[in-house]
Amino acid sequence: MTLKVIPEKCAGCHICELVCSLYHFKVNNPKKSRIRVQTLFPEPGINKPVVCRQCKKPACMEACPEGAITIEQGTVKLNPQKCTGCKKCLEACPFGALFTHPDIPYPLKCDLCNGDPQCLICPKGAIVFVPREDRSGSHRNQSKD
Amino acid sequence: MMGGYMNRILRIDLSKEKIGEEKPNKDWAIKYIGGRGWGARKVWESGIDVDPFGPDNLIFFASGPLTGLLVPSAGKMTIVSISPATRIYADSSVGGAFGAELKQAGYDAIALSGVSKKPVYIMIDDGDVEIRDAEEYWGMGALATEERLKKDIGDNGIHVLSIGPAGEKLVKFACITSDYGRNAGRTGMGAIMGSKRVKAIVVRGFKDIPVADVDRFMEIAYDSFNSIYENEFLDIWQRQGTLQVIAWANERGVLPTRNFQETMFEHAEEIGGDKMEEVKTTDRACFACPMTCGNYCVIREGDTKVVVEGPEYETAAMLGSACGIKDLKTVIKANNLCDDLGIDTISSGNLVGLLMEAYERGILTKEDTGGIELKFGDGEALLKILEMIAKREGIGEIVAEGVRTVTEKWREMKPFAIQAKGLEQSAYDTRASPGMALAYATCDVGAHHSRAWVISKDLEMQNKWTAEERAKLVIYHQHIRPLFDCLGVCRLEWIELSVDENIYAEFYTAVTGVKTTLKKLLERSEAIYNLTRAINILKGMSREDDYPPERFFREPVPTGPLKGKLLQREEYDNLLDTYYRLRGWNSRGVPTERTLTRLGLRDVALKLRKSGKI
Repeated sequence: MTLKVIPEKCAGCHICELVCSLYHFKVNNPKKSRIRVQTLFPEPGINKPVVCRQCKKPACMEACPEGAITIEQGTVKLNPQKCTGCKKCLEACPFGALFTHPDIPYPLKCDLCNGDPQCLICPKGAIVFVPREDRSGSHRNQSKD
Repeated sequence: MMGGYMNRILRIDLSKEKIGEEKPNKDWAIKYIGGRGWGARKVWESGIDVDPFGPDNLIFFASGPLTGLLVPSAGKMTIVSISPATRIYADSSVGGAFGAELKQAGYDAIALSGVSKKPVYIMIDDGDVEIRDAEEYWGMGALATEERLKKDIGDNGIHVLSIGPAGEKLVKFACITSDYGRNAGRTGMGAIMGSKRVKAIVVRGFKDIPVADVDRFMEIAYDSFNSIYENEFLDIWQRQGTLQVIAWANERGVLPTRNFQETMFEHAEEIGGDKMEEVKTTDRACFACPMTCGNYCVIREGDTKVVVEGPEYETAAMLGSACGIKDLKTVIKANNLCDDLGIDTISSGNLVGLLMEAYERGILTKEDTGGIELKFGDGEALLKILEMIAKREGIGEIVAEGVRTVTEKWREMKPFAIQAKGLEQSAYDTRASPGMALAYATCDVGAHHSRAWVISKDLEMQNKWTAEERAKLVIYHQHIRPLFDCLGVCRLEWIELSVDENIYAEFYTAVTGVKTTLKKLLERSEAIYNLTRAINILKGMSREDDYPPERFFREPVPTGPLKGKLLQREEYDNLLDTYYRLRGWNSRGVPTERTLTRLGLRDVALKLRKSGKI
């Protein structure tokens, strides 16, 4: 299973970011979330959520020199204990779906909340949880930003 | 310190280019809650006997204890000062996400005083604060300024408050814009920023906002969001936002039409929510808001593309029906123009409607208007005059001073100027609703709907309720609605989606760790209302300033379901007396010593006594 985002539905409310930071760190801090919403106005005039796609062949995993990123039952996971904070994974991800925060020594990466993604609280239904094969291929055309 | 607050107020003296901060003490923070409450008290403490455009007038930008948290629509911030338009207490709230970001940057509030020698902008970067040169941005539109700052700073994620040319030129209803189209619209806050030569405030922050009991907080948060998701009206609010109100107001017969001459507009459908959905491209939500009532609209005319967040109901009514404008395209163009020039759409629409009526009555001629045929329904004339106002060109020089100056210059306009306390009235005709008339007339910032909104109930009850019941509802609204502006959240989830008001007290308790109830919070809000009233009394307001516009006593509603209705002077006198009595104010509308003491405002009572007001 993986998360799929539908930017046309996103309103840019940042509720997904809040619930993410509350679930993982018990704090209200969108800057500590593993999903980010870019509000791009006036051009191109859209709200765009960005979150890890749980790639089959993750570029982040390949780039990690420490073996800190692994696939566990289809979910791409980052082990903070093994991570040295080199950020090579950030550079490697073509979707810009790993994030950093000044207080946290490792990159923030979506772990699907142990199978119960909190961001599905989205009031617009702009985030859905689908089998990986159901995710549309259109993301290949999306730019990295 | 308690949760919910960052416990720091940023203080900047622009004359001395001095940046400092203060820590509010706990009792003070609790007593005035935050947002509007903190602002009202700070303005009181810094001195209200000031020139609005002078160095001593404080402008205070304040979030609340719930701002920035997972609370329905928690992006609100209130801006407080002494208004250049009304010369009394003033505040204006703004949504978007600036307030949330400000707290993440480490501050609850910003207090600006002094006057900068040259144009500047203020950069607040996660606790580091700089006053930066803004010479190259001076003269730019408010929206253009936000775009440029994001580009120059190289971060699209920053949040910006900016003013347009109207704020720079001290237009008395200049607004402050944020997040590409959210406005602190009313009472001329943009002009105060302009008078201090502050073009923009930029904020970016990464900090956690502390919460005392996070487990309890999360329980309440999820409950409140789930209750919203079950509400049957969520869908229409997400689709049309406030613009759905055009149809409602028109059917009821309270939609300001051609400067409040009529109350129904034959082209209401053309400027309403259904029409807007045809050109809407996406939603724009404020921070943590599931209602997502903001609409992003795009129209094209040949090669030109006009985008706008909105129009909101107030904008479509005041720039639309109140000016006789019968197409949404023109409303959108005018909305975008106002946003970028940095003028309030409500005051602007109200004033242009007034001028149009004056023109049609022959009070104004082409000579006055610089050749413009300023007739109701003329879109080109509307756009031209808005630009002249914002840039103070021609007749715009006088109109930019607001309704009071306009009616002093052309006294014949006075009987049909729709205003209270020098603030142009927003978009409800109150001839059939004495309760709503009272709400506007006793609103502490002038004729604005933000404090009490009782028109729906009043139309339903008509003569079936007493003056006491009517006044009581107005008072309840005047306490609970501004309470949201103290807490730093939007009131719409409570009003429109039935979120239980007691939940906000539970939020406050879990977040701050200070146990409270709704009753206690409402008492604080009552104290704040009495404080703002005391400021207004000291600034020279009295009973005469608590009356609705003349037109509503003289001219009956001409058409529609409320045909023939108008306010009765005796009935209104009685309603106002009842309102004062229930509030514990004397017959001149001055809070009594007993009332102020009960609310913990002894120092305020003392000042009123010293000034001979009580």
